[in-house]
Amino acid sequence: MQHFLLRLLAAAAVFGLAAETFFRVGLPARESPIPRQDPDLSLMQFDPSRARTGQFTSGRRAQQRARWRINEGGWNSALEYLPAAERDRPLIAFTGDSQLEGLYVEWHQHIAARVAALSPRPVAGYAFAGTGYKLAQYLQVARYLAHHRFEPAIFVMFINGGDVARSVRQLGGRRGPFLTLSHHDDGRFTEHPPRAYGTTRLRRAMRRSAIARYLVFNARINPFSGARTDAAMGGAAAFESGAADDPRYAATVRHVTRAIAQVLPRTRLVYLVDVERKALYATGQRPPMLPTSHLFRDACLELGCEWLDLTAAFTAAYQRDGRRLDYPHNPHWSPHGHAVAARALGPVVVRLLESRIGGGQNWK
Amino acid sequence: MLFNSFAFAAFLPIVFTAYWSLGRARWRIQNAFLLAASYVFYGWWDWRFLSLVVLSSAVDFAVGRGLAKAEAPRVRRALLWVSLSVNLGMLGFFKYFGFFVDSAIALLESVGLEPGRTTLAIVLPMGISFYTFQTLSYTVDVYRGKLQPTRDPIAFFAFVSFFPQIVAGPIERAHSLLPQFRRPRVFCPTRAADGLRQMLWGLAKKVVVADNLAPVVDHAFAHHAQLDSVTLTLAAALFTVQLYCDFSGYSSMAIGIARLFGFELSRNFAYPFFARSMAELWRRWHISLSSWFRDYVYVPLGGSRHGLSRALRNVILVFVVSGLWHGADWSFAVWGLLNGLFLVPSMLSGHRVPRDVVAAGRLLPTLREAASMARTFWLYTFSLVFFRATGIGDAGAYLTRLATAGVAGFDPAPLTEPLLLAGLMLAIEWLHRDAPHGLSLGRLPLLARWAAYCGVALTIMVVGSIDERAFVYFQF
Repeated sequence: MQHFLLRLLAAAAVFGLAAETFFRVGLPARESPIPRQDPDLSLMQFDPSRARTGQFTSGRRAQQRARWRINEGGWNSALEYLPAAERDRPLIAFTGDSQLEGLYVEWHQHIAARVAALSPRPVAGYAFAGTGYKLAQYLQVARYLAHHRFEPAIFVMFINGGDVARSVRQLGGRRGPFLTLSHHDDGRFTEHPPRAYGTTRLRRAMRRSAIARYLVFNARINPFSGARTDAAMGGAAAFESGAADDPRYAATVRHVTRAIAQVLPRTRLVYLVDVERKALYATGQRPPMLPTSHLFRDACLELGCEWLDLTAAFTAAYQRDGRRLDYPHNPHWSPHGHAVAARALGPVVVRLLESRIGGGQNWK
Repeated sequence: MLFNSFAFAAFLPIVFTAYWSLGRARWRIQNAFLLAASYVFYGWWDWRFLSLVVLSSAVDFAVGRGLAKAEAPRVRRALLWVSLSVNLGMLGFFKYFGFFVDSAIALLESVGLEPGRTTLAIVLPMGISFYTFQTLSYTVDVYRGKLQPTRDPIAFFAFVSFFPQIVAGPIERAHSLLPQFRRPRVFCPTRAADGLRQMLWGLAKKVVVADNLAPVVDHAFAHHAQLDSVTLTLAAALFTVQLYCDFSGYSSMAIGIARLFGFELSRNFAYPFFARSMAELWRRWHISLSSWFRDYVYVPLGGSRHGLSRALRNVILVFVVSGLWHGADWSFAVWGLLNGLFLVPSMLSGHRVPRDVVAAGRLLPTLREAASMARTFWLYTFSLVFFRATGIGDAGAYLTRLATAGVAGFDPAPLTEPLLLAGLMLAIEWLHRDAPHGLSLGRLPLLARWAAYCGVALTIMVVGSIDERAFVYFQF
């Protein structure tokens, strides 16, 4: 019996070695940059003192592959982010969750790079996005931009299903390494600063193992609940289905949009709203907008900011050629999705930039 | 609990370690432990149905003891009827009640009557068709005097509920498996290692081939009205391969797992797609069920002892009953009937069923052998359309569409990967057709063997379905 168990152990070791090699060379398991919190505002970003580049893959067969590059500022971008004083061109700053974090596409395919390329005059497109960012966290990003004197001409914020609800404790938001809000009965909001981000030794060890990374991130296997299917992801819109009837949603949107406008008074704000893509693929017809989209439209009418819902653009693109805008195995935008979103956003950005010149400002 | 589940991945090593740490001298305690583990395994799905396993075991154990004491034929017959009534009664109620009620209502409606329609939703307990047949074989063998009834209730209960095979076989005979519970088990590293290889091969067949073929097949059978002839033909063939890989994969895993515990289960599949006739296919497909029906239905009906016409009647009858064993639907009966009819030509011509391995000693078969194998495969595939469809009407619609739709609109893309997987699996099995399973690689050098094992395991990780899809035969 002992001999058998030893042989079994040896077999497991041989297989482990073979699999480790295979998931590093043959079918690369996901490599992710190491997260950290920035020292000033505890903003979740990446640690530039650790790995600066790597290959991000997703899917059982690593179907989607893109290289990430962490700049000095701790963001995933091929560009070094310069403050206004060191830049020779205006800045379009983007923020959002993992969709805009950009790990699922090459940098040149990212909406920030594409929108910058669409402008007839030179502009810079920087993305300050991170996995798990929600609406309240965008206020923290705005403070970061102000703190580091980026002085963006335009600040584009990506709104996804669940953004509002997960920002507010009373609507289902949970404490985490992100800024969250509490809504009080008298209409006031209070802020809960981000919790300190920490990781465990086990997680760090797992990061080093290509087999573990493959099983967790590529195969998405969770031994406690079975395999997580991607169909289970992205159900956040349903999570906010009460947005139309619950006044706390509208109050939250009003509160955050105003607060961001106060932090960045010279910046034109754009709220870019994602699409119910599952419904689009299921019917081929224009899906309903996200339940919170109209709240941003109303807030922008009041504040004079821009609201752009991508439903029309994504529907038209899908109806034209039937190509998905995200990955079949993953709900994040594919390069095609980024391109369609950039084409929809481009004219808005150009109009806003041109209006600055019309308003007597320098191009920069 | 499914063999292809994370729960089982934790369950097996725990049970294996605990079982062998009890020591071979304490084989009775090992039996008790196996019994408890088997009940946990079965109860994981729905503990309430454990009562049926216990009831079936208790009745047959008691009947066995009764038969040991009774000498009067009348009493012995009565005891046999008790076992038959309880086991077949359970099976009839849980599996066929709805079917008989629906059939009776349909019959009455067809003659113009309007019977009251009462519905009763009955959940089919997993594995009931398998363990009732297993216990029945014990009682019948004891009744016939072929087997000494056991005095050991723990061994008997463990025999009925042995977790590797309780839910989908192989249907073990008491004379083969029960004695293994009545003696110390010796851990044999060579056999255990081969058991692991067999498990690996079975898992690969299930999660890599069967589960990846299933969505294509499901789609074709659900939307056949919109599909072309080529797609429907290939989907029918893919279902044949899916069913084989699903069920033989399960059987391989069951045999492999049993070996880890020092038990030998009987072979259930012997490369049926390399059969040169339908008669040979049925010697190679679901062997434990075929031999059960042969010994307990065909032979008692007279077998081939009373002339050709009686033999033909018996074969067809056995196949129809075998079809209905699979499911309470007339489409299964048609499947059985077709398979019975397919045997008629060879019975009439008196052709002997070959028992050797096809193309032995050669890499490729002769054209004649290849044609025979292809004909057998397609005949069986044709019958399986009735097995897979949701009813006779649905099967008819599928076959009509297949015959009339034409090739316009054929899109090879969704079928390419399933066909490649099926082809690869069949090619590997062809190379191993004289070996017990597809990973019997004793002839290869060590390095090549290990490369093959690692390759199969990696394929399971990368290509295998992780949806924990249930085995097809669990529904029977």
